[in-house]
Amino acid sequence: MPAIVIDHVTMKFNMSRERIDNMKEYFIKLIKRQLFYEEFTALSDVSAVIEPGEIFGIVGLNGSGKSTLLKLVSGILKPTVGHVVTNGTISPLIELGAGFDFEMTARENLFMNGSVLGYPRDFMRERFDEIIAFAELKEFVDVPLKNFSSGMVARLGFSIATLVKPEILIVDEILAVGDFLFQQKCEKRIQEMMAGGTTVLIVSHSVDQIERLCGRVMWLEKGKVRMVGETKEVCAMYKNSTV
Amino acid sequence: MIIIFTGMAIALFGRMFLFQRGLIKEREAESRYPAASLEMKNISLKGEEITVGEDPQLLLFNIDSYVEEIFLEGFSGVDDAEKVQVFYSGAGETFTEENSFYAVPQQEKLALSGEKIQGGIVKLNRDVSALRVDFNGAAGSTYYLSAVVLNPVRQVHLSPGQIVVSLAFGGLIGFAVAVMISERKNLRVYLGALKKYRYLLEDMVARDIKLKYRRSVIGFFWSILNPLLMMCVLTAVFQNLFRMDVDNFAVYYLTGWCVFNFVTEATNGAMTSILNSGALIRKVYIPKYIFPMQKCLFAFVNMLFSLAALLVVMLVLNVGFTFKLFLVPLPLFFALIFSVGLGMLLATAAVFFRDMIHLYTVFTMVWMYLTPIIYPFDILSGAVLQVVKINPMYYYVDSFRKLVLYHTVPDIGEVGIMAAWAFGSLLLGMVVFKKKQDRFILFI
Repeated sequence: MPAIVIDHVTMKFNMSRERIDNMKEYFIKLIKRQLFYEEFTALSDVSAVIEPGEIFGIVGLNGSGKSTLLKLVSGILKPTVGHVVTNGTISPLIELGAGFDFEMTARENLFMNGSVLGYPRDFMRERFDEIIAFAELKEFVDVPLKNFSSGMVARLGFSIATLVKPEILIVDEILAVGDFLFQQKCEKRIQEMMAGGTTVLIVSHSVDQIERLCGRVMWLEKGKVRMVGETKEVCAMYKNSTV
Repeated sequence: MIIIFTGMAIALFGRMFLFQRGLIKEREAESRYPAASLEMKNISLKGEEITVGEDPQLLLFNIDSYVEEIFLEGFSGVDDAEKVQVFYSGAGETFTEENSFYAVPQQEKLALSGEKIQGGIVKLNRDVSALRVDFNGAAGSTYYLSAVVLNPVRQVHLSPGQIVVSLAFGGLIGFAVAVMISERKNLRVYLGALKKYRYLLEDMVARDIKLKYRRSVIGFFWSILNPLLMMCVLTAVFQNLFRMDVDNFAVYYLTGWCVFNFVTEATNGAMTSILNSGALIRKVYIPKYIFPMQKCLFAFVNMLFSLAALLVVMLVLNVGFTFKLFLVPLPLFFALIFSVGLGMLLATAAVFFRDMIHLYTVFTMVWMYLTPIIYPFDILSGAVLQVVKINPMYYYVDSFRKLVLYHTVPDIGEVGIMAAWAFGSLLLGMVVFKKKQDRFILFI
């Protein structure tokens, strides 16, 4: 069974210049016939089948729909047309520390974020020390997050998100979190996951990184699939076109 | 389809059966015939005052209905009230001594009207076509007849309105069952997700509570103090300024307030919950129904604090505690289910149509006045009464109040109505929410 199936997916957004939030505006626009706002197609007819254990890269320029595709796979967005089917637990490293409340302490946020990701509380309690140790935040456990530096917040978020070995890992840019020592730790952890048979979906601007890590690559251009195939071929074409 | 019709049939026959067994009663004071309305039934009654002349004074009423219980109340100007005798008879019968009872004088003396008389409650359980009241007092003695109470007049046939309601009720339950059967796979997925995310729900409710009372000196005591202070103000206003005639107004108000405030707080919170959680919804995948549920549970916890206030007031005013208090969770639970459904519906509406938030504020105010919270139910009549009887809030408030204040148990009909509103609203909310939830993210 493939890990991820992306089946003829099209994603459209409303691109109304101003949003119509109330009735007065609605009627004014209705009379002016401006109600039918433009549609913006972020992805059109994208298909891919990703097998378990595969490391799959997505390259493309800004606005080519890479992040939209990741959000579709992680279930945050639902496609306008088509289906996305995933088999296995997903850990999205798209937004670290989603739902962090800066008024609350690191400890409270840790449990909160854990439950946002759907982990049982006992499980989080067991792993508590491990997470804090990895994030190097032992002295700051009971400090409200608003007093943290942005690097500290990111470290905490990363430590929680990479807590379990998921079956599918979704990475939006290999994360540059904290100082370079911590970055090395992060990269090592992600590579451990990749080595352990996890299916990985990576988005990156850095073609070098993609070439180094991925088996297959998809090249997106303005929401359309330009090319899918072996890393070398696709990356070579991509580099040529952008130069 | 078959299931829906079966549900309708079961509801209709079930209701008929309960009706015949007398387990459901008409909820109005209409079975009470005031002397004035008897007058309209071709009985001449000059005012409500009867003065006995040379001969004993007789009053004759045509009833023509099934009577379960009967009693009479009024005043007598003299002490020999026992000389008021009430006869009843079926069609074609004559009035006999066996079929009669005496109005018994009450202990309490009334300053103006002399003695209060009351015919003890007599169980009849039969058709009565006519009623005769004899005033056998000495010439010149005066009686005031305030009401002949036939209680309750049991209807054997359902009115068309009741049939429609029963059919709708049964259809709804049938529909719910049908949906559950056809969607049972999805339902299992949903319940699984709910189980997985229950910690999130708990955490979010706990965070809401923490955030609400952060930095206030007495913390969550505000939840207890707030209703108490409100109650003091309103009790003072209504008992002294408006002279509202309700026994135990403080408890009466507080019970109503607790339930009403809970539902409005829950639905208001749920309505804006999706909009306010935009940041989270755009970042991670969480089942979206968590958000309205979270706000409803938060309001529920707040209400539990208010119940502590109610408990204090009950102790102080000596309302009395009975085992019936153990049934209190029932109406509150139904109110919670109702709020979740309504909250999901409002949340969906608010995402696509922000004006809903302002409209709902106005609606809540109207809703409050259409629920007997600060006024007694008895003062209602006509169209307003009919509207209040449709209002689900009335049933939640009323059954809660019955259990707490009046120590009575709501009847099966009332429980049925509460359940129907609760699960009907939940079903509708879930269906609408599920249909629209994928588009939320494009509008927040």
